[in-house]
Amino acid sequence: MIARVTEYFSRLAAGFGQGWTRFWFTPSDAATVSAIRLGVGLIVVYLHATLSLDLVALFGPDGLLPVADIEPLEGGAFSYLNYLRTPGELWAVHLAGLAVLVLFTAGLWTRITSVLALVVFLSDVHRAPMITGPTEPVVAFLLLYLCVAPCGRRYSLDRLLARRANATQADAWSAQPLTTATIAARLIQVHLALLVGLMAFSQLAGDVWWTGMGMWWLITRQESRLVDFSWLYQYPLLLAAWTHMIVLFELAFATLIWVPLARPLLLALGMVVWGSLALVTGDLPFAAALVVASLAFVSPATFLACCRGRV
Amino acid sequence: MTSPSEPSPPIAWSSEARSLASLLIFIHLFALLVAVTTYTRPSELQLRLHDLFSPYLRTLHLTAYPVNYPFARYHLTHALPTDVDYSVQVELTGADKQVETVTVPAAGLQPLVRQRRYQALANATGTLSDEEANEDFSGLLPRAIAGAILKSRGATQGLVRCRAHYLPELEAMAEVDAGRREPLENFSNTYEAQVFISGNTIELLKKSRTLDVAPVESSRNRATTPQPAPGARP
Repeated sequence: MIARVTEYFSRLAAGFGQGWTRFWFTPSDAATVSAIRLGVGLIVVYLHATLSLDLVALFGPDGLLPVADIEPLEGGAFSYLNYLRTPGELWAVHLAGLAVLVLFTAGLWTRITSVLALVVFLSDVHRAPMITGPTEPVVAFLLLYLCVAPCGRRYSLDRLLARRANATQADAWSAQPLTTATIAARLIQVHLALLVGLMAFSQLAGDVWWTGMGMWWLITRQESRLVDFSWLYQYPLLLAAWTHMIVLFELAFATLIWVPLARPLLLALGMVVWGSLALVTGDLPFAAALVVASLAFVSPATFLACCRGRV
Repeated sequence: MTSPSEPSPPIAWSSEARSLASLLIFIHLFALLVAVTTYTRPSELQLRLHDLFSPYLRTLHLTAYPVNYPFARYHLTHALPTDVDYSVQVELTGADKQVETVTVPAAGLQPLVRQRRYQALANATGTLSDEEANEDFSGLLPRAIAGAILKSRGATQGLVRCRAHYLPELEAMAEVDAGRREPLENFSNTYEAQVFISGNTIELLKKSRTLDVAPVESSRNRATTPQPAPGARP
């Protein structure tokens, strides 16, 4: 009996070890992480560039959020913006940050700009967390994992420059399967599944997502919403169905996304669900960030086929 | 990461490199699991583990567990009295003796992400201004916002108030026709204070507090209009 138990645990350990190695360390093409770089780069450039319009009004010496006054709300995380005093300093550093983000999005010197992009973004967030929302943690983890990834190997200026120097070598360089590409994509997949699971469970901690009224309480927030769905008060069953569908989808996404057959369906449904939430909450960047993160579940072969005009 | 039809490329990393990477991945995923499971209703153990990983999680912005305010509400709403949109109003008499009211967020900000930022700021101010829940923080944002606005207008005193926009119940919407919906919209001041500027010092003198919700049974936690406290200003 003891021998059987021992044998079972030996097989379990061996099977887990093989599965773990296959999951994390099978080299893959950099197409997926490069596409994610492009998507998250656009989002982060948008967030940073639009901050320019209120830079001094928010963070300036006489701005709405002086460092000394709001320090207890910041949580003590590092931001280089905390050390800038004059509007001139703020603008210089902000524009340098914007340049870094543009270079990262375009895929130039990606090994360096990916790390710098993370620093720029986190400094923006940590300077005033009270003007952020659910989008920023998603963008933060995407940027973090792209620091590990060879995300400049495709769809980038790095590749273009390499091709100018030597096209054959550049093609071989960008097509080389790499373990770091797999690790980064897997980390994004696991993190996204955890996050969507968190959304479902935290919703189910409140009554309104059980009683079917969750969407109603979002729809009625006039200041936030993009589209007025308040006429749906005439159709309470529809509201309840919408509420339950969102929770059900989130639970399904967190678990069934690992089943290859269900994956395309969940990714397509995700576009609909995140899109509908964006219309109601007005949080378009959040929906965009979730869609970009979902790209981690699309295989590099699919991206390459798309670029060649066949899926 | 390969499609099912493709043969998998051989594992490239040595056993030692894989072991080290596995250890780092495991520690990171554990920290992440702690961050995710702490978000809703953390146990004492979860909170201690979160504290342990907090420098790592907070530096990389990987946790939504609030320092003192839930900036990322992944539950979207629980229909709590604070799950509403707020606005911050600053009333002042400018250098030209004209009375002016400045509202945050201002109407019509473009692009929309700017509106989202200022709305988030107003919502944070409103949520934190509940003094019983946030004794140390309730005045921080009203003081900062009012101080900046007063200084920008050259005024030395004014009034700052935080207004909650309470939401209509579904049943109430159904009871009135479309033309009478407007009266259902209900605003309430959750925080009001006089602001004085003297040199570089900004002082707040709190006036009243109207968000005193009576513990009504079923609708106690709903984001609808709370019963005003006796004598409170409408």
